[in-house]
Parts: sequence; structure tokens; C-alpha cells
Amino acid sequence: MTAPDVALSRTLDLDGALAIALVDYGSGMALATRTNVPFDLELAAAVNTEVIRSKLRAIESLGLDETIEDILITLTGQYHLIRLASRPGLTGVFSYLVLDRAKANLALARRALKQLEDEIDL
Amino acid sequence: MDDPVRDVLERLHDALGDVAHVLLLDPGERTVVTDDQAPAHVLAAARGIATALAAAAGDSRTAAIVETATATLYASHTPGGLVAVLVGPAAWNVALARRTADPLLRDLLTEDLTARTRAAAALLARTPTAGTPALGTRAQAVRADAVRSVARSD
Repeated sequence: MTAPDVALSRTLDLDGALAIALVDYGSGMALATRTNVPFDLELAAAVNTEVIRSKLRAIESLGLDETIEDILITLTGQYHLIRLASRPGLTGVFSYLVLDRAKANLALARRALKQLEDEIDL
Repeated sequence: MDDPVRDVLERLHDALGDVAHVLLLDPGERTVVTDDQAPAHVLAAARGIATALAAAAGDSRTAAIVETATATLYASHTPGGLVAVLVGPAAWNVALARRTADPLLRDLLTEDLTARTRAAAALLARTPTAGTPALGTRAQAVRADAVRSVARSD
């Protein structure tokens, strides 16, 4: 297992990675953050908590027996990738990765968030 | 405005749509202003958190978040000694609420408001309290009126 700072820094080594946070979506509070550029991750954590809650409500309303693995938000110049942790010890936590759209590889980014979840020790 | 303390409460309520109760407590734990509908157990919880914060914070700005099965309490202790307690629902997005609340608390919980609160506390300290009945009694209402009177006197 790896300490949060080390694990987040490793994820930020990805090409195009700009910022990353681990967030408790019970409270909207960031548990750990790392950035390569100025980025308000505290606010991003809070507002993306609402994104997740809305999607969870939508799935419930639709009567789908499904869980969210990840959510991709595509902006003009950035990708925002959200992964809900499925590991028992990380229940209620999501990772949030901001990527430069011109430089990032989405497949690698998804794998990196899965790896982060597997190895991080909160 | 004829009651600046209550005005603070109303502005916080208006700004935070999902807040259930707003309470302002003075350094001596006496309630300055509470939501009229704040139940006794909420008041008791707020007093407990305010006491803990006041003991830990001294003259610094400190905050605490307490999550229970039915509610989330966010308490903010100002350098002047006032403690604001915001009560939201369970699993409240308190990080988002703080974004709105913290600047407001900095603006509203001023030195003037703290001075008014302390003046009220000093007045109350001169009032015999040995026989004061417990929470929710007429004595409590009288004390609350005294605080509001001092707040209005300026």
C-alpha cells in the first residue's frame, strides 16, 4: 500500500495530468490533493460531489441495478475524470483527475485511477 | 437594522438554502440567537461543540464538523470568541456550504458584534443565576431578551 501523497504524485506523472484529488462524497471534502497547475481542488471536490449524487439519484430513479465505475466530463480543453472507489476500505470516496485534453490519454488515465484505488492507503 | 445579531442569523439562512438551523453562541456558551424552531437537542449539541471549540481555539479562527445519523453540524469559532453553528441535513455537502458560509461569517461576525455579545454577557453575569432553572424555562427566555436588548441599545 502507498501513502496518499506518493500515490497522487505518481498519478500526476501521467502525460497531461493537471490536478488530482481524493474526495469524501458524504461531506464533499477533499481528503488529499495534488496539482501541477493552479486549480481550486477544494471547490472542485465540493461541486463534483453534487455531480455524483445527482447521477446516483438518476440511476436509482431509473430503477437500474447498476453502480457507477467512472464519470467522464469532456470540456473544450480538459477532461475531468471521476472514479468511485469500489474497494471496501474506500467506500464513499471518489478520485477526481483533471487532464489536459490535448496531451492526455484517456485509457491510461482510467487505468491510473484504478491503480490509485488499488494501492492507496488512507 | 434594529437587531444586528438576528440580522446575521437571517442572512446566513438566506444564503444557505439547505441549512436547517443557525445558532450564534457567545463565549460563555449562552445562546445569543437561535432559530426559533431549533429543538432542544440541537441547542445542546451546539453548546457542546461551541465549548470544545472555545477551549481548543483560544483567539484563533477554528472550525469543526460533526456528522450524526440525522444531521451535520458545522461550527466556526471566530477570533473574537463568537461561535456560529450551522445545522444541515445528514450527508450535507458541508464543503460546498462552507464556500458560502465562511466569507459571510467573516463579514458578519465582526468586532462590533462580538463587543455587543460581550456586553450582553457582562450584563448577564451581574444577574443572579443561582436559582436559574434549566433549559427551556422562562429564565432562559428572560436571558435571551436581555441579550437582545443590549444588542439593540447601540
